[in-house]
Amino acid sequence: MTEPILQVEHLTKRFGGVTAVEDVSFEVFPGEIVAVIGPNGAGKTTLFNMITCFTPPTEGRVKLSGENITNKKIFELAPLGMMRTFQNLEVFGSMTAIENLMTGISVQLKNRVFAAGFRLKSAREEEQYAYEKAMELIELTGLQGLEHTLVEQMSYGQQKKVEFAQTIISNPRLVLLDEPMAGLNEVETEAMADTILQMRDRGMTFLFVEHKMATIMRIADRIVVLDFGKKIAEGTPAEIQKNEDVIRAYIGGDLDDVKSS
Amino acid sequence: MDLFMQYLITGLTIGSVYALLAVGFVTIYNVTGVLNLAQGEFAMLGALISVTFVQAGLSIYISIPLAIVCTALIGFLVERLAINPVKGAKPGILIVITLGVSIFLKGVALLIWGTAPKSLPPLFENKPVQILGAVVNTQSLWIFLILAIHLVALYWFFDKTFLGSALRASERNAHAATLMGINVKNMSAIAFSIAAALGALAGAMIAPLTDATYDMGFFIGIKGFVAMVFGGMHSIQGAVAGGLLLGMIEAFSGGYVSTYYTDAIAFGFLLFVLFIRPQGLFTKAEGTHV
Amino acid sequence: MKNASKVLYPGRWKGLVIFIVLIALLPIVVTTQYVFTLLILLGIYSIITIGLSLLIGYAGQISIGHAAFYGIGAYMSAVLTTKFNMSAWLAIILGMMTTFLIAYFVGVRVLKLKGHILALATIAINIIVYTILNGWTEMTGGALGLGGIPKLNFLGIDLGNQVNFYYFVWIIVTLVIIFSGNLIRSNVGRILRSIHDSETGIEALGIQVSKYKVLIFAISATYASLAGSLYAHYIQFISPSTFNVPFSILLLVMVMVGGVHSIWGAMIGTVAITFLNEGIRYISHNYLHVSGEVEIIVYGFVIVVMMIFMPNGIVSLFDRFQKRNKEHESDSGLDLKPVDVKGGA
Repeated sequence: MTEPILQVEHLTKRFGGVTAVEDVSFEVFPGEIVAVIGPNGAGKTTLFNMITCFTPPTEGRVKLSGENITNKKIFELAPLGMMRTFQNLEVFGSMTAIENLMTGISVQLKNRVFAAGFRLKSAREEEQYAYEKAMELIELTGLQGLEHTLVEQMSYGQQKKVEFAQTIISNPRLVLLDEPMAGLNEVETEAMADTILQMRDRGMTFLFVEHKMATIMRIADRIVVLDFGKKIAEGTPAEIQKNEDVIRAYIGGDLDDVKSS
Repeated sequence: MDLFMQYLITGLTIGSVYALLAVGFVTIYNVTGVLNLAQGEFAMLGALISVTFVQAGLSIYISIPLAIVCTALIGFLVERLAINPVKGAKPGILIVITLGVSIFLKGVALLIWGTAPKSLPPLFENKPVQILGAVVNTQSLWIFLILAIHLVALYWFFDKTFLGSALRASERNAHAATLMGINVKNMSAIAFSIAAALGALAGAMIAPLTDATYDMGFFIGIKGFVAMVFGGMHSIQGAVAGGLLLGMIEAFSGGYVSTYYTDAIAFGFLLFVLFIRPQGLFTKAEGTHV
Repeated sequence: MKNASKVLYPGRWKGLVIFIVLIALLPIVVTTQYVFTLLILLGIYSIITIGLSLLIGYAGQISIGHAAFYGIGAYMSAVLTTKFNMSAWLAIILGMMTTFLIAYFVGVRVLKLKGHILALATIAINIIVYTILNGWTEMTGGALGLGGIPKLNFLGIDLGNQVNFYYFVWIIVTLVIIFSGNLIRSNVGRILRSIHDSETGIEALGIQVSKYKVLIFAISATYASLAGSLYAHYIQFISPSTFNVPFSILLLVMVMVGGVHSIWGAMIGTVAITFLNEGIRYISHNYLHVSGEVEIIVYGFVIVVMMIFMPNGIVSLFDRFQKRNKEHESDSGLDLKPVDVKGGA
């Protein structure tokens, strides 16, 4: 068996007396698409924030390809090949789509101030490289025609695409998506799911939090279920659908409700 | 020892002037979120308006309160005309607006009073007295006493009166304050008036010690700001302590090091504080409100 | 594949060409010595305000202390040439390097602060530098100032000559504009602009934001240092009062009034405020017979009115005009963040 790309070991987070996440462990292997689900308030976002170093865990640790990344700074993760998106979109509204994507590739560039100011060859080459990469992603995510539109003037679905493209443009090994389909309509959701599958075929690994069950069942290889901060189940979509703990957590028929939403 | 006492009393006197300005800063900042860099101009106005009333033949004991009322009115107008129209603007814009107000008031003062320094007659008979071996002007002592009384009164005002609590409530939670029937909009204007009055008092108190000029305001104001930062931006007590501390630093560094470098030492200490304890010296670490 | 910068930022050179033609032709129209001096000072101030627009408009960090770096540059030049007989050019470069290092190391600490507190910290830096310039009499001559600073000479061209110096200063301004424009149009520029929209977003993309804030702070300080050196060699006499907080405030006001989101805005503001001040001073001294710096009353008033009614500065008028001419633009017209790159420098 291959080495896991992400190891979550006994992550626990307490806020004062409240335990938001309790002793959660799981692994993600290269090339997998893993979903984290659970009712509202189950601790998914807190878990996500701990994995991506936005919140320090009370206990436990996170390893990326065997390296402990628990106390790293946020900006130290991208160079290691780990990227994330946000539930409430962190795009750059006053910049155009293509500029957003080009910014996404910063981690691969040297960004030398003096080279840029004097427009040395190295800076011009970087610029050209970033531009070509960005155009590629524009096409891939179906943003053609919008490359010179300010992101703040785009629809929510288009902004989500920009954020996604900006996140994957630097070819990260592991991508964490925080509710990538939230707020998208049926067509957009399907398109997003397809792009994720397509990028997986190019070698990316995905861990994502989502509510739309139908999509999760379609694209996820494995699902981790949280309830009241604890992991209550883990398995393939088929296993999870039959799991009694999961059904109980969603209070009986609720799983079907969520499924159809 | 006698020198030490002298520096101490000088420090406390000038420090309480800074404290008054700092309380003005805190009041405006916490109610409106605006850092009023024109605060020092209120001190300048307080001093110069007092001078004008005295020259018109009024007693100094009437002149100063009148000047304070006039300055409070100016503070009110400043809020209505310059601050209120830009509610919620970015800090950069607000900083520049208050700087503009400061420059404007300075210009008005220049037109009215000219460039020549003006002095205010001593508030009380000025004779040197001995305290613990130090020779101290009664003038300084009186000023310190008056300022101390006002600071206590302010503390009482913010803690015990309805208007004081209303001001604090509008700071904490404007929405809740509105629900309680407090008009947050008016609070902003009231905060400016109070801060202007405090500035005017501070100005009138130092005018007898140093001469008053149209351009005295800005740096005094900045010192009030420093005192406020020492105190952690949000607390009246902190601002008072910060003001006294700044006064002492100035008095002692002027006395023992060199008057040339007083400002460098005071502002160097400020940077030091900002680097190691940006939340202020006299506060417990707590959630920030910025 | 098309050339990236042509597609992304077209029409960049148009403004620059107009600018260069204007600068080249002005001496033909201007004959008064007084106006000439003003034009040279405008060039010197523009170097600083362009740097400030990078810092404030792009990196989003305020400074009310750049007069300090202006002063460090001026005094490095003055002291090294008059007391150590150093070559003026070497002194200018040493001054810029020293300022860069000082600003960098101070910046690492100071730029952790935000908003009002950052403003205060930069005021503190200014006051400290001013106090040192005033107090270190053996080196700086103290409050009496330092005179006898030599005029510049470039490959045999006498820059003591007004016209020569005018062209010299404005060539440097042009270079500064090009350097800054390149920077804004590079990925570094995009990183800086992204800080405005989402600091979290750009950090998640693997960029240490603080590093870029500090670098831009140091670069803008270096610009100020260069300007200070030019000032010292032009006026040939400097004293500390030039480098105190009021000048920092003036610089900040120029940038804000002109429009902080564009390099041209900074320059427009510099021109507007300088001519406003000089104009009022001229009228009040010669026609109204009032003495002193009475211009500040109008100047203060204009600042307040401008910030209330035109918070994006004079340059936003041009943006609005441009927008009207473009059909494909949306009809909102309420775009409050016109980061001017396409039409700018």
